[in-house]
Amino acid sequence: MSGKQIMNLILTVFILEVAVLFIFGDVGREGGKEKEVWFQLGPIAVEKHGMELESIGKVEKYHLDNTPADKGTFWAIDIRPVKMMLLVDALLVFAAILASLSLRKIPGRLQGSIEIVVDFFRSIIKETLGEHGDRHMPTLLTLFFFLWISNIMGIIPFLEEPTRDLNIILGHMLVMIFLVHFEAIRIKGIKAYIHEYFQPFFIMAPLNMIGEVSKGISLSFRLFGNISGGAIIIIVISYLIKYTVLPVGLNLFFGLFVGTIQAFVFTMLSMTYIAVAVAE
Amino acid sequence: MELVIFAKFIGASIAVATGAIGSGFSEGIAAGKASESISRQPKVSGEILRTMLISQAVTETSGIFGLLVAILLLFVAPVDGGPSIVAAYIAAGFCVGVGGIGAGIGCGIIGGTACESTARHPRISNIIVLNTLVGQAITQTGCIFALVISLVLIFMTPESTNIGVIGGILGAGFSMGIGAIGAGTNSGYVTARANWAIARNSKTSSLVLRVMLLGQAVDTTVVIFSMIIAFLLLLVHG
Repeated sequence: MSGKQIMNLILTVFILEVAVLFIFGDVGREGGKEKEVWFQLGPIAVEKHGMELESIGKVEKYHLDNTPADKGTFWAIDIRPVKMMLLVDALLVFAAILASLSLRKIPGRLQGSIEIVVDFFRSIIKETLGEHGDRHMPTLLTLFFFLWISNIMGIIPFLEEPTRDLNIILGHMLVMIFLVHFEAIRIKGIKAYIHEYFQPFFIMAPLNMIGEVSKGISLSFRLFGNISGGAIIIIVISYLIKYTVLPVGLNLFFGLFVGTIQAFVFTMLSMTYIAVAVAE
Repeated sequence: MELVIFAKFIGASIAVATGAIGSGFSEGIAAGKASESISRQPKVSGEILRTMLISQAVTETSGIFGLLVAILLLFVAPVDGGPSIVAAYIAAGFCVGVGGIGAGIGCGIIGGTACESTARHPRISNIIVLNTLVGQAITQTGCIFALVISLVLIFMTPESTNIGVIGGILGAGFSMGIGAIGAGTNSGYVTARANWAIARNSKTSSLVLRVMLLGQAVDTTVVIFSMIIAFLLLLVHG
């Protein structure tokens, strides 16, 4: 098959997948009863009750028709962030294929704009990770592009950031923390890896372990709090001033500005953790 | 019901008033340092002004979070409930307000040194702005955790009249709010010195960034202890 046929195949599969999820995705909800929900923060569902909330019905229609999965069951999945995540995936695959199909020495617009970001990251990663840089560049760049597109997606009406859901961020965090420990064991060997926990004294082992856990918590909750906090601020202020000009500026600040910075910070911190883990 | 409305007003006023302390105090520091820097390097006054405005925009975040919780308490939070809801509203206001003090002060100090560093080495102003933004984003960690805890307090507190549960709710707010102060100011100090270090020797910028991120991550551990204790206190069933 030629490159173009492969591209068509991948695209068709992705579009079909996304379409199937959008149409049949609501099947998972049938078990739970329909609750009127004002806002959902990952695991936290803010239910609509009290007389004051009646007046926020308009906001709810705006882009928060979010019914939570049944609270009682552990395995119930809230399908909406998953849909949004697949949309981001489809977008990224599409852009990557489109940019790489016609690689030229003098780059066009799409190729050029992606090359700027890639070059910027390559220089930072090379300087920080040194010889291990090439191995981790694809992972870190994928992470950055995914989080970036996810964080700034909320500026488009009817779409919401997948990173507003804590579960999706926790998934990314677990992947990165697993990578950090895997690399540490791969490079240093299991003996030296375990020995590190008993530094500088034997008695410090519990503290070191708590430190490892807290890395993951701070990494994930920082992103979650920023994105969902920004989303709530936009919704509340939009309601209070009846959707005049200000929400546009707020979207620019919390969507583009904060979203870009937080995606960058997540990537940089993951990179730093890897660099510390593989350092001799 | 009347008691709940009383708690709403008290909580909103505490949130917006204490949340304003940190950012209000330190935006002045940033502006003062910017003036000094412009007098030293008048040619790059545009860049210094831009750096000051960007860093002040981020510094305001803790104040905005206080405002957000105040608005949520006033307009959105449910009005009916027992003593535990009353305690939760006051604790939520205290948590987000006091939790923002440290982050506000820290971010302002960063903004001030960013202006000074730009004046000292104007050619690398982009690297300094990048370093400033990353450092400020991490400095905000405590303030973000405080926001998460206060949202949980507002919307997820169970009804109860047990004095132990009420103590747990108030304790969660105090633990998270006060616990975030020190780490916020000190994370700010770390990035402030890192800015200065980059301006002094721009070749080491990536090394400095790495050390800075690591130091701030360790600094944040204290805030995470506070957050874990706050969550544990919220789970108290007397």
